[in-house]
Amino acid sequence: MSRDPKVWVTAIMTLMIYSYLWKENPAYRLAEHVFLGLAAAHAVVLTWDTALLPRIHNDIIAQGKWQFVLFGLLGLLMYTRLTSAKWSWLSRYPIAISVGYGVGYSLAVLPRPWLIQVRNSFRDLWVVKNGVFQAQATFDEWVFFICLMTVLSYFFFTVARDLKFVRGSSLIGRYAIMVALGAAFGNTVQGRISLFLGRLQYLLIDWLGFVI
Amino acid sequence: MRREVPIFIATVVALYAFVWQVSHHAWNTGWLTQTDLWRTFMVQVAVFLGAINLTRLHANNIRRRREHWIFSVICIVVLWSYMALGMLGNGLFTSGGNNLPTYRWIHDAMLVPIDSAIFSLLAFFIASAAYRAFRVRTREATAMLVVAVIIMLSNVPVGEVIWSKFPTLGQWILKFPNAAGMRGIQIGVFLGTFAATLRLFLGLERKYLGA
Amino acid sequence: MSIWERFDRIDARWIYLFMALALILPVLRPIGMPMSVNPQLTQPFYDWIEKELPPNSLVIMDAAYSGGSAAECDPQMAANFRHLMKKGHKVVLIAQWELGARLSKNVVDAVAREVGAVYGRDYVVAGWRAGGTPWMRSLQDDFWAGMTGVDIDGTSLGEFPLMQRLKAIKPDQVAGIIIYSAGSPGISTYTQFFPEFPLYVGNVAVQVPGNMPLLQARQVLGMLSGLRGAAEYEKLIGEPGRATKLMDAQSVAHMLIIILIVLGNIGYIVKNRQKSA
Repeated sequence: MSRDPKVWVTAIMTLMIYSYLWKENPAYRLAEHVFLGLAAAHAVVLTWDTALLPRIHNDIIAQGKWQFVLFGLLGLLMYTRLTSAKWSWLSRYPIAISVGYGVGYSLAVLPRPWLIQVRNSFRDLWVVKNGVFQAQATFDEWVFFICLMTVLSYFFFTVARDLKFVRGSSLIGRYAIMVALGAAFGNTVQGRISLFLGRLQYLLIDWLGFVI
Repeated sequence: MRREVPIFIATVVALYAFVWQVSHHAWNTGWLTQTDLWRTFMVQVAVFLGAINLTRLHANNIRRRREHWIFSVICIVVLWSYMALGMLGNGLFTSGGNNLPTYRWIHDAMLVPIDSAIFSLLAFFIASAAYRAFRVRTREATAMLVVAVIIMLSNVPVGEVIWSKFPTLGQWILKFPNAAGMRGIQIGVFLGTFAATLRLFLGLERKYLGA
Repeated sequence: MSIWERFDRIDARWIYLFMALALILPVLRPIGMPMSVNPQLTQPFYDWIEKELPPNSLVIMDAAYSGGSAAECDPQMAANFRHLMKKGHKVVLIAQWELGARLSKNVVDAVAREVGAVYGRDYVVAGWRAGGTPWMRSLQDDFWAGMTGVDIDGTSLGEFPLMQRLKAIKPDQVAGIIIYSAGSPGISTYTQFFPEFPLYVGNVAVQVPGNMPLLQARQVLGMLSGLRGAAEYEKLIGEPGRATKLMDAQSVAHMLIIILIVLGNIGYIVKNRQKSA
């Protein structure tokens, strides 16, 4: 068993969280609230330490870059949200700049990756390699094509749903979505189990000192 | 003044960011980097908002003596003492606080493992859900279940021991029907996101400015 | 009450206990079942570092995850970093998630101690900055300014010889990007703002099906899928680590879940038959 207090605290924190599996209890709630406090503080400390202080020292004081002061003051206006309605509207200015900036970027950069996806959806439905017909590859491409088109038709509401063709197509689309969701579930199991195994490994090996 | 001017500013800023981002000539001026840094600094200055909001929320719990208020006290104490340690531990206005041994000790022994343990609870819930909720109620649900089981078996070595082709089958499902299905969903999601962004750009969506 | 009805009403805590106990043995005594390497996800990732990267390349790593997904992303990052260091490449680590910044430094520092990599010469951890995508975008023009000129510990970037090579995330300075992603912000930052770079992804397993379209369109060139991806990578570099040791436990856990699904459904079908009879 480990003699390192750090390992012990880690193990105890982990067990406090696992106590929730029995039922909700003060130990779990304590760990949960400690985490909330630490996580919120950590973001502030990192920003203070590696963003605000160096910017103030290196850019504002050392180089006199006054624009940072201006934008810093705008950023301070965000805190008026915490005051009464008489002042809180001032926070709309930094929010407007921040949101506007994000919107401009989104409009500029969102379509490109999407268009690459669309371009990749135009596929060779009769695959021939070095003059030889590839049956497996052709089958795969048809599966991809049919699944994609039927899923799109499932989300396509411009055409009346009572058409037989549209109904049939969207039914296949529903199955294609189920296949995707099934794959997602299968992988989710792997992910969730991994998280627990990580903790179990810590408890058994690092804390209790089992050797494998 | 209180509403119209911010909306006007948002539109002008959005136009600026859009034009500068798509224009390579504008890119070369280096202006975008400057404004990126200013805008980033503006956001960074507001970083205390999260901590203050959390404090207000829990202070309210304490004031009203809501159930479990004592944990709110703990949360506030932990928040401000950890912040004080990180910001002042190395001296006020001196950086490097987040590298202090005590600060890092708390980070490694408490912050990270609690985070990990909370998420790992999901392993238990997914086991319970698999037993109670994953039922062959409809044909679609059956298709989903069969695919899920194949993917699960393709993800672990025991699947390979049972049937050596499980990994290949799993990879095929991921690469073709799954990728096509996901792409169909994502094309729809993109159209929705883009429409929402356009609404913001045109000033049709103003909720972000608050009441 | 039939046995199936009893099963159906079983307290979930029995399932929890059973699962925890069932996993202890394979964690402590892995037998090392054989495991193949995924040719479309893991192999291209390995080949890129092993064969395609020019000597002495600089790679950006991005820790876009937190402690919640560290069990999957930590071993992936450790295996990649070990491989990169052994091949003599350089790494600059950034973090799109604040909780990933220090966490990832712990991971690479531990590997660096084992392989003899030197901080500042072979790798630098720049860390996280608040600011979202505009902050990330600024790094493509001026990495130093975007990072306020310091690393995660507040040390000036000017003190590190490696940083003389990285003034901006541009193709003439950076050979590729590896992101360890557990959600948003994550991969889309790179497909949108850094499309000209070879992009490789260490994924939490949950995300892999959703990211397959990116792999198909070659916006992402290789992926590691959760702990299994890390174990495959460990196998490829010939250094089995923690991920490899957990693969038997993964097998047991998966079989357990499949058995639970089957039992649940048998109960469901039997009950339905009894109802309709």
